[in-house]
Amino acid sequence: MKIEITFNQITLKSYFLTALIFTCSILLFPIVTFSQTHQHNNTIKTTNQPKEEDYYQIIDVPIPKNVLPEVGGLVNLTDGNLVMATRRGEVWLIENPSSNDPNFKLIASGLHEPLGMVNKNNSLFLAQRSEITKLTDTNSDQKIDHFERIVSWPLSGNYCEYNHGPVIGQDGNFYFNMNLGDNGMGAGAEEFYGEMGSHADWRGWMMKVTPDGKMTPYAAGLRSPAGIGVNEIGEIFYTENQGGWVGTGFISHVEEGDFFGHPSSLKSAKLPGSPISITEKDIPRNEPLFHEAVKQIQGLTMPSVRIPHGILGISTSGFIVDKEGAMGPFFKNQFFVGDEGHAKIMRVSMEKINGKYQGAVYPFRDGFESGILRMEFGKDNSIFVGMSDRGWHSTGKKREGLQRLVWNNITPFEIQTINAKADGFEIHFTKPVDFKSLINENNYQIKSFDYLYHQKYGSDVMDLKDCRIIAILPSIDQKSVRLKVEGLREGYIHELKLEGIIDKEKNESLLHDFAFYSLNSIPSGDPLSLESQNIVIVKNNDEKELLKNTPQEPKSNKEIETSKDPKEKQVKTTETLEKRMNKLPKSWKKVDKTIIIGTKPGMKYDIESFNLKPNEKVKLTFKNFDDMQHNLLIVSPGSGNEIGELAMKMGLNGPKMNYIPKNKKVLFHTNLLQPKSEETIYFIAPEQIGKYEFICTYPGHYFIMRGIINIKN
Amino acid sequence: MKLKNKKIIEIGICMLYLLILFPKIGSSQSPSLILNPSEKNLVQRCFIEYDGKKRTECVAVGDISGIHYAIDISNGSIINVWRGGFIDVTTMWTDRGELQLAIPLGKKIILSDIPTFSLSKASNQPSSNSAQDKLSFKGYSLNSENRPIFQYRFNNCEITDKTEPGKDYKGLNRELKFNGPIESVSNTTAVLAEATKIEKINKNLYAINNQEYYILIDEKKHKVTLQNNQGKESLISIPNKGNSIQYSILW
Repeated sequence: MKIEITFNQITLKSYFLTALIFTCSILLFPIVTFSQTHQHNNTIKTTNQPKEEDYYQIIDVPIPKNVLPEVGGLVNLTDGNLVMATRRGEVWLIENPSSNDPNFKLIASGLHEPLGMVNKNNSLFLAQRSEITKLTDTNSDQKIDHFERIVSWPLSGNYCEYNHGPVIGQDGNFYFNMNLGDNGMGAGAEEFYGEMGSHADWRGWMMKVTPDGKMTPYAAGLRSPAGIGVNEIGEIFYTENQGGWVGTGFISHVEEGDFFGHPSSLKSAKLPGSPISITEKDIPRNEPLFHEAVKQIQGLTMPSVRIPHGILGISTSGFIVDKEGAMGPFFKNQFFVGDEGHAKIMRVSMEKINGKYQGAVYPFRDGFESGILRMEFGKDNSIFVGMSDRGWHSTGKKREGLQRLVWNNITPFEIQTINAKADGFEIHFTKPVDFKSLINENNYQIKSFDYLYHQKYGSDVMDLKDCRIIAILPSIDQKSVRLKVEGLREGYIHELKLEGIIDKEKNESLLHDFAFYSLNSIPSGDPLSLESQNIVIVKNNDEKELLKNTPQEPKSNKEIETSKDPKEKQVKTTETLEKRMNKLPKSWKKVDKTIIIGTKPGMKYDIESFNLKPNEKVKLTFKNFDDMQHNLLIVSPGSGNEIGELAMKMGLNGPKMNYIPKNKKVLFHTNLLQPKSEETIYFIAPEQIGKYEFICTYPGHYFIMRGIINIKN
Repeated sequence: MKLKNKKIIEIGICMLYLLILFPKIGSSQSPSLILNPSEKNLVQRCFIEYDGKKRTECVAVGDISGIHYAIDISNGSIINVWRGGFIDVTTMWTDRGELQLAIPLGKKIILSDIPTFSLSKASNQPSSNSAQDKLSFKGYSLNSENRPIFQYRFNNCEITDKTEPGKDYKGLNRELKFNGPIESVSNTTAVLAEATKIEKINKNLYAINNQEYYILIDEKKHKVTLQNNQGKESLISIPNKGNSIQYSILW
């Protein structure tokens, strides 16, 4: 198959090519330099700080030039070969995928955007836009020659009607997720549902399909369910993406009849076979906290593990369960969850409390080359990571990719699991902990919070409160600790920060020192007795009051505020206005310049640069035409990356602070805008000429969503 | 001017040219993506626009000879035929693929989109079993030339549908084969064409819509009827003695 690319009929001759290569290398240099792996550390460390690459290496898979690895599906065959399905409908067999010279063979093409694949009885099954197809090579010539329809469904043709899967459950049936459609804007948008909606039967549902093609509805309330998979005993899980009605992404066990919240799927709840009896009238309009909504609505399912937005990814996608302990025996049966926006993998540990799965999410490995969509284990226990940003851009350098992750058999110092107790948590580590640090209450910071359940895109972190450590019981082997905690709240997500916990052997910090535990249910029984031997009781310090609803300043911001650089000039303007001035200043007789900046598909502003004169009075309107949240910050010359990175480290305070870091290099800004909304700010252009930048600081966007303001006379 | 200086100036001009060109590449003038069968025939599942609506169950079939067609497998209807370039897939695979349409290149002939298969009106069977009346797409196989043979189930019959360019490059030859109980095969009919105007201009040859395209069918082997129904004319045939229907679309 030959794909021709035409640039308006211009043909490049050889010397043009040479010049092109030369120019490209000059232009790409800054992009490559600024896209290096970045650490998500929030504090200054006095001890050694281990790095992810010291334990888990990302290795490129050598890919021939004629293969575009926009991975939609990945399957490992028993002989160690890998099969990859791509966005453009191709299926590639990859022989010796872990070698220096894997062999790629095209075995099928022409499919319509497969987004998942599974192997069963020598045939491949994948979900395309309009059907689940069985691919068979009937004459063993390593080419698929039979494409059998297993089941199909109606479509409106909306481009977001993706179908993720299929996977095979413990009952031998196929399961797959039907993504909602895009709701458009203006008069076409359906207001109650938000930016995503159901435009055909069963959109927003997980469907079950028998091997002979009978499809029945299984669970509802899905929005953008990009990941689907099974755990070690074949139970079904799925991942969800933040957006309208979804305060933050998550991974959850799915049982028949579950409803995860997006009301648009209820359009199909009355169709024959539906196990859901919830109606739209049951959906609250008063923006309750999500755990309250779960109590209010009979049948609204609390997801197993919620993944705080912006901190641990922005677009949860495919996942795998480490049944063999490929990433270490200490992580056996835990989940590795990919993110399409932040090109990284998180780790999730789960336990069953009161019959339902819940657990914790931890950072795991950052720095992949593109947005992660699908993952699969290789025969050699490496993880093959299939990537494609599918048009949404990621923090990775590329638009697509296939890499593999390898553990070097050295045990990292990590939180292994966090288990909920009736009165606290039990934390297990992969290695023994330095005793002094283990019993120091200052090394444990626990907060809890929730998100809102509402139509708006995403949610701020709500009702943030501190917990207090009452007692600490270290284990004899110093590999775990039992904390007695005051202030636990059922239904809330609990952030556990363990800065200061030190590895006994290497005197190092934890590789990742924080986690979020979704305390959906507090187990009963077995409280920690204060009479226990070796227990450390924390003194009740009056200064350690429970803070109520006050977001705490992230430590990294404080670090920047006290800049010691004497050469740093305060950016001067003739009149001091607020950084975010939404009303025309009374002292202005006229506006010198009016600028309107919108957004373009692909996470970009629609203006790349514009000019201003020093001290000009400017009216700037930012229009967010996109289906995601964005903001606009004007920053001092050369500080775009710095401010963008600071925003990514804002943690739980990020959403409430509109991802605007408190820093003098931020000159003027809008707030974070909902999709299809706009904001106007007034400011006076700085006096100092130069190339200023405007950027979007929504986590990860600053890599591409930026422009230049030339201030000159 | 010295050769060395000349080369430097040439390269300089090229770089300048490309620097001017470069900003355009990232912007609205995205490169177009075209699929063209060069080494082998192509099959591409896609959405195709027909009569202002998006058809969501289409297959575009491209041939090295440059004779292509698009079929809607939800009703077995060949909706477009054309010659030249195959399809523009830019809106399918660029950025988010919002428009998500495969666009036939060159001038396409728009055929009717009515269901190809139906029960004959002369049928004595009670039409209560709606499942039998509905066409069920089963999938397709690829033959040695990488051409698809579509498989359907209708009215208790297994139907295969193969269309390929004629050796004289004047159009497409379609062969429908029916496999099932005699009663079922004999009361299945196929619509070969439906249009405002169908004219028999010669033995075996019908002109559609004032010779926009032609249907050629061997009337010695096939029973062909021309029907008029509320201003629409249709050309209908039933399986021949060999349980098949063979006809050509020429343009």
